[in-house]
Amino acid sequence: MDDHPKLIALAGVPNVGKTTLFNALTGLNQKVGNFPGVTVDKKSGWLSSTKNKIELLDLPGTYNIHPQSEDEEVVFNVLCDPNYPAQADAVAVVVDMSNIERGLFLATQVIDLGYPTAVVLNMEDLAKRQGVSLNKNLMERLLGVPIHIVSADKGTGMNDMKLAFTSGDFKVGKLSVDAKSLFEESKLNELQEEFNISIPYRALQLGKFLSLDKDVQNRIEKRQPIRTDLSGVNFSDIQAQETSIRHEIVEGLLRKTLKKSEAERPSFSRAIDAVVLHPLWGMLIFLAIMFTMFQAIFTWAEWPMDQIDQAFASLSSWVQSTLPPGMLTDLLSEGIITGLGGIVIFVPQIALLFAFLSLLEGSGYMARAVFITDRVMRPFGLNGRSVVPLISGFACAIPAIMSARTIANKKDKLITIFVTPFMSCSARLPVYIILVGLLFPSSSATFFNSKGMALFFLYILGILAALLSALALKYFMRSKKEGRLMLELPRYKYPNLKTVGLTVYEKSRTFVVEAGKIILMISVILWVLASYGPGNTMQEAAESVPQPLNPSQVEVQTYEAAVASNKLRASYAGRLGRFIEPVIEPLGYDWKIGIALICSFAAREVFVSTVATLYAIGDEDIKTLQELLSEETNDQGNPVFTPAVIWSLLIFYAFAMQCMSTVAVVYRETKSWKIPILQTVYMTLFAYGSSFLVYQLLS
Amino acid sequence: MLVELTADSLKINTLASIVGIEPNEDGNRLSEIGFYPGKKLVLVNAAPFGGPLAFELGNTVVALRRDEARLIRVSPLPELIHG
Repeated sequence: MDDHPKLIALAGVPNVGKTTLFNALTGLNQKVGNFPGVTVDKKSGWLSSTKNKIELLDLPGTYNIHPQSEDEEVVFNVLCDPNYPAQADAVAVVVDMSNIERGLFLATQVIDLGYPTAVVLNMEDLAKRQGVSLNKNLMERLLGVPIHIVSADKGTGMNDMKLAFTSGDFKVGKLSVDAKSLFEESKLNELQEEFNISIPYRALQLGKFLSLDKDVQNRIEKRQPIRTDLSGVNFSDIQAQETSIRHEIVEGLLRKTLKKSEAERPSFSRAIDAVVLHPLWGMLIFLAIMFTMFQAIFTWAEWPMDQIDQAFASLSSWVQSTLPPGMLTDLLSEGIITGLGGIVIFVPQIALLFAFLSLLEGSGYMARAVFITDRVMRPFGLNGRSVVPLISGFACAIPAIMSARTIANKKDKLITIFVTPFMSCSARLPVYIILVGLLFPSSSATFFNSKGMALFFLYILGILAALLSALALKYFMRSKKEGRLMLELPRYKYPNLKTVGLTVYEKSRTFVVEAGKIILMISVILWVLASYGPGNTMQEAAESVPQPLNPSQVEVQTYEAAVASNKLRASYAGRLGRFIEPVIEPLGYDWKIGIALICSFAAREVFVSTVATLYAIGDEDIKTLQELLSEETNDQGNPVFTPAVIWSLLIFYAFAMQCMSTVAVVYRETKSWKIPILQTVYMTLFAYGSSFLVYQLLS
Repeated sequence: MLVELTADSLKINTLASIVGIEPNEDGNRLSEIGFYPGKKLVLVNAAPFGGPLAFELGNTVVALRRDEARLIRVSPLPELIHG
């Protein structure tokens, strides 16, 4: 090639070590974004050479170029749509050398698309161990493209390949399937002319795509109907014909070039699978792994989260005491720094979950987890891929929703994202503990005590709400056909730690940078609402509290707590609480609980601190809080927190969205406000309805 | 005589040869990922209660739901791989 390629696309079927290869080639010199219109990670990086800067684009792993999932749509768009923003100048197809046949199918398709191509045979070490020997020169001649034999894990052959990439060693190969043999030539010419594509096979693919899936079609840029008359063309037959020709060609090619010492023994992977996929042991192993992961996110993240909490708290008070007092200082210390702290605090959970998930993915276990749980999820319109996000939702919905990205089926991905926040996350626990404690003030420390039972019941409720909502969505979305499974169970191997590290870094960064903006904005708004009131009502509220005459330490504390309480009651948030009182009255709540609901919209655990401020309790000690709440009476002198009210609140907190970080992440993952808004409305209505029922039944 | 059945009704660890694939969209997809006439497969694992089936196909193992496996017509071969 004369011109050096500027953008090299890296294609390949799943599980050929493409990601490892990509990471080895680009290292930290990469960026992760999104392909336009879909929620598929777009990973690209730079190959530096002395003369040129070449971008390497890691395409999602797909078996072919016929788009049916979002992943395949991306590959199709990059390789076939001339109007797509990312246009590859050359394509490197990565093939698992120990299983060449499977990857060569895609390689011949890419060659037929007319791209300057190179084939990378990866996992040479494994192929060698399996007794594969290849006549590389002959294969290069038959395909007409350069072949590189490497092992990305071991690092062998990588330098030569990189050199070949940067010097532009890609060749337009020999056609395997002639588009003209598949399709009427005059129509083909018409298509080529219409799309202005010189390569017949590419024009055929685009024509097929545009005449098939209306749903997918709408999402690509070029929307006008195609002029070429394609009625009466059976593309499904053409595809079947193409597939069978291609398989024959690949088989023929391998017969000539590949020798395998035939010593088929039950492999290592198969021996592990006998246990891991066993109907009973497999399920137990899966549950044990999930339990460990859940525990880890729950408990290991606690310490760093506390540290982050304290660090931001002391930064906030440092700013407060150092800068001159005023609105700006308040905004900085209480609004912005506290808001930032509320973002960073999720990083330990996100990092831990993705460390676990990428270890499981990299070892090959994840596909087995899908295999084992597929049956359970099917009645709810989901597949096994949804299980991990849902279980992770017990710890925190934010990383859980981010992990739903691996679900290839768009509908399944959307349903999973929609229902995951119903799972009882760790932020609900403080609220549950306070309220359940009020419900059962004295409780024995036995294993099956009433508190424990109530907590367990709340967790079960979350699972039921998630699954039932998934079922309802399945009918609502009325998709014609069920999603597929068709999932490869890759060989077990040691996970690549570099890949794990990069995933953890990338997911944490994405959350902080992208979801963080929205979270910061909402938390500042909420802070303003809770800290300011109309006119000088706030000041009046503060002054209405009599100053202590003999300011002992206790009296000062009581005084300050009373001021804070009065101020919150007089603030905009306080007014909103009174404003929504008629709406929440049927749930058994008064306006003070209304304030707590509003303030905890940002994050449900804020309920505890808001209640503490509202009832002028200086410290947030749970015992004191519970005692005072149980003594709280309304204007008629009846207790406010009756069992009916407490249950109604528990149910509300179990089902309502009450987490702006989740809203922000859903926005980030679905690329629109439609889903997060629908979801928040749905969950709030669901919570309202359930709390209403519970209160009316119990009171 | 060759007995023909669909891949979902194979017994565990029986070797079978693929005879044909249902000519529809899902069938095409199966062919593309490697299930095509002439190839040999072995059912290696079956998830309980009508869950997915895992087929060894050459050097790979692919999990299919039962209704996906039903699109594959196979004829069992007498030899046992192992087990």
